[in-house]
Amino acid sequence: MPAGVAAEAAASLALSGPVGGVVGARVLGAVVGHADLLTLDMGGTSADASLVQGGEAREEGSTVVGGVPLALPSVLIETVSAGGGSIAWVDEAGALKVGPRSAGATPGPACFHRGGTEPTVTDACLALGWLDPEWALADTVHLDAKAAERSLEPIARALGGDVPRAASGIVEVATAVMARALKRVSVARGVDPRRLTLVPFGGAGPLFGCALADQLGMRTVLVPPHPGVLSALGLAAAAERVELVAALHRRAGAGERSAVVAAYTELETHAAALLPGAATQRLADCRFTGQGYEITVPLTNGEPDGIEAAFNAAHRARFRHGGVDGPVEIVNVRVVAERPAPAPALGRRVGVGRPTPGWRRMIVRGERVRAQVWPLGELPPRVRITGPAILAGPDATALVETGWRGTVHQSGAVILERA
Amino acid sequence: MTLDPVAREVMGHAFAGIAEEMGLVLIHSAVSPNIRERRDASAALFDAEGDMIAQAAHIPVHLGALADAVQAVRAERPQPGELYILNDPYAGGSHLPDLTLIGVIRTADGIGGYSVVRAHHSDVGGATPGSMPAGARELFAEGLVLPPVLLTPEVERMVFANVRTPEIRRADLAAQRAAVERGAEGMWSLAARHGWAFVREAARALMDHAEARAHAVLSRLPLPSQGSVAAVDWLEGDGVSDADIAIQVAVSVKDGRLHTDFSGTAPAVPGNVNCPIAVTHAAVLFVVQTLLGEGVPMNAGVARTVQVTAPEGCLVHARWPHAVAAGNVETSQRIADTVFRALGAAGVPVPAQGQGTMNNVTLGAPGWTYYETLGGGQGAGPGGPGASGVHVGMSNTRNTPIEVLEMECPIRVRRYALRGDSGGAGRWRGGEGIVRELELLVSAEASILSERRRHPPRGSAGGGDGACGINLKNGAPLPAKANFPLAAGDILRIETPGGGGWGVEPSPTRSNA
Repeated sequence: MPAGVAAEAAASLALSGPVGGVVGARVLGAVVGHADLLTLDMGGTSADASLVQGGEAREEGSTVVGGVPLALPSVLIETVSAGGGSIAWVDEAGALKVGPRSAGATPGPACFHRGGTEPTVTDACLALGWLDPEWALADTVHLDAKAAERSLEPIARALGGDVPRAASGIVEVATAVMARALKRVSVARGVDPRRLTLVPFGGAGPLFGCALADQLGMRTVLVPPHPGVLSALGLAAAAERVELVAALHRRAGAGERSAVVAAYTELETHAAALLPGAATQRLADCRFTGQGYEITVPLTNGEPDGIEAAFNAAHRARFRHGGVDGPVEIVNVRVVAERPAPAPALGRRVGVGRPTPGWRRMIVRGERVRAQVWPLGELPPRVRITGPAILAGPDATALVETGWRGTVHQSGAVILERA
Repeated sequence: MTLDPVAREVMGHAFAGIAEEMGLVLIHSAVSPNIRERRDASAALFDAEGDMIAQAAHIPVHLGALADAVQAVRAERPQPGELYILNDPYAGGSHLPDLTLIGVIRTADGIGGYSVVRAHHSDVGGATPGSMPAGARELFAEGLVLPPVLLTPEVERMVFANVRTPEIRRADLAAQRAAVERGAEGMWSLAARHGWAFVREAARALMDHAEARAHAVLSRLPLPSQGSVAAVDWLEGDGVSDADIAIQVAVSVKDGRLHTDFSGTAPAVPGNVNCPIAVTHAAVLFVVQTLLGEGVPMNAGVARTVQVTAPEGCLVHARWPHAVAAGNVETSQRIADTVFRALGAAGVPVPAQGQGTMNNVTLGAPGWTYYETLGGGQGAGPGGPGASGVHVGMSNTRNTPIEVLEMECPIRVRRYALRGDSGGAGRWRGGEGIVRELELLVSAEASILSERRRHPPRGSAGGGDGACGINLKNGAPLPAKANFPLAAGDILRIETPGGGGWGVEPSPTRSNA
């Protein structure tokens, strides 16, 4: 969106940070050739799940930002409180819980040595050997393995096991919490996750990619070359895009064709002025008369005649019932204008020569294993990786679990598939 | 097989996630404002024995009550894959507008559990539009009664022939059925991953865990080890007579279980403030849930720690065919208030009373019906003031946005505001009630079911009482419960009660000078 437009429509920039990640995932998906994605951005305090279908981020009619309802279309994001800083605890009847309290970045996980003493998801990952204390996180945070273990000891005692077992339990519970968010954006909305590609990002997300894919029955995980900065890259690489909406509120297909076409033409004229030379697409937000949530459907060849049929098909696909089988109304008409960015700036650093993996001992799914360690983001194309393996980058670390195999793509991304 | 704490927690999230998904499917495709906007609905999963595994927490009054619906269906010897409907308050229902769909989850060799969705439909026939008639004297005046029956196309046709807005019911029921199917699919995919034996075992483990948590909390309550603590509170008439109706309870904790004995409560009344025992159970369970705090899963394990005794035939254990429409929405509030009051008398730190009513407003005429409940003041607690303009206690619905109301119904909203100075004074003030003024654009039948119009929500620990609510038609007062006609241009104004204050107000007191 041009800066002038942004200034006049500041509310439409709300949540642009998290959305940047979704856009980044979408751009990466396009480069790799995967158009249907589930994305998971795991940060310090929470994890955000989102859905990309046919290369488009799923949007819903409204959202709430800081308690203020925002009646603007926005990217569907479901948030759960499971992040690297989420605190693990044991309740009085002996159940292991993760979150909702978080140590955030300050005081942060115990292993950050910034004053935190409570055990977090990051401490568990370190204790399992997934993170390397020899390398500072994001070049600045030195990890203290002893502090992580100390913080986990009370959990281990309460569960009646050792520290590695407590750490395994914490990552398993965190995975279950995140799987809930992924299911809310997929199964609860009529989308079968098994056909989608999981894109885990954020500093900690790619550690959980394989485990989450297992929980949802997914077969493919796409690890970005720089998962920790995918949001920023996404914003830079995103196509310039303007989306214009006009309320119409008409019966679909009831002799209103000229009014509908006129509404689209007006939006397209406006869009052309904002973003000259952009390609435009016509969409319509529809519902059965009486419903309170709309489904957005694209117009085939820009023709309004097929709206009703497209909506009926979309409603059936999503809810598996035909609603009232009654009149369909168009609530809004919508035009999306897009001008591609010059080139997807995925920011790959090409390493020198052909890297060979290092080795490290770690614990994956309760098993002690010897895992390969590869440099994420610097791998030449077509390198093959067999789990268990760690892909260690400056901004994030990925875990390739036993039973998964990876191939490095041209872009530096790693495509993981079940072996 | 015993489940370790990690596997149990992981499965707890999986079950809770399925219940949430069921709720999302329902509200995203239902058409009536009461379901899609106010979310007057609940979704839950049960195991094959009929014990609740998980519930999407929408409405407290549905909490424990859904278990009775599943038991009523089990008594019909259901077959795998069948879908039942019921609303009979004397066979698993709550009040007639709550239509409950129960899907029997199929496994390879039997029943894997039950997927249950209850939603309040804003008309199920009966004497007045909206099926919440004040002063109904028999169940039959409140709408069509559905015992647990298979939801066949024939039954659907019969339902649609008996309601005022059949097209809306058809769509809402379709949404409800889709939500039930989502529940079954969720369980199938869990079983495909883990096997039914493990799923069953996990469900039992979660119930045992919740029971242990509830036991621990209840055992710590400062209730006398011998005898019990009693409290009494009143309903302000039944819509037939204006006389107060006593609800009495004696509360004790024995062996880590909360015993509530309602002996001494008034007999069931002619009007419709009676409760089937399922609703009374739900109200007590709600109180227990507020005591449990964070992270205790709401399932059948918690219900095992609650014992409810009520003489058959009394207000809170009514017998067929007493009318019950307001029992679910108003009496349930008072039952919870009375139990809280007893706990408070024993020294449990409970908040001051909230508005204690749902302020049910039902409007309708041929072709449309509308039902809403209104928020009010929350009681203040030892830690802070009460929230203003919210649903408290047994109701957990949202409001209907003005834009939606005006688009859907021939009603204009003239005023929707907080009601100043209605919260009780104190160290912490009670929350404010609200003022809602509706202008009718056509003539319609109206029905109001409300409470706390003469007995105010009480303050606690020296705090002041909240203001009583007021119902007005064109400026003239109406009773707490009334059926009456409205003409085009008439103005209905509801002022909802404020919450009680907590603690003595620090001096100098607010000056009126």
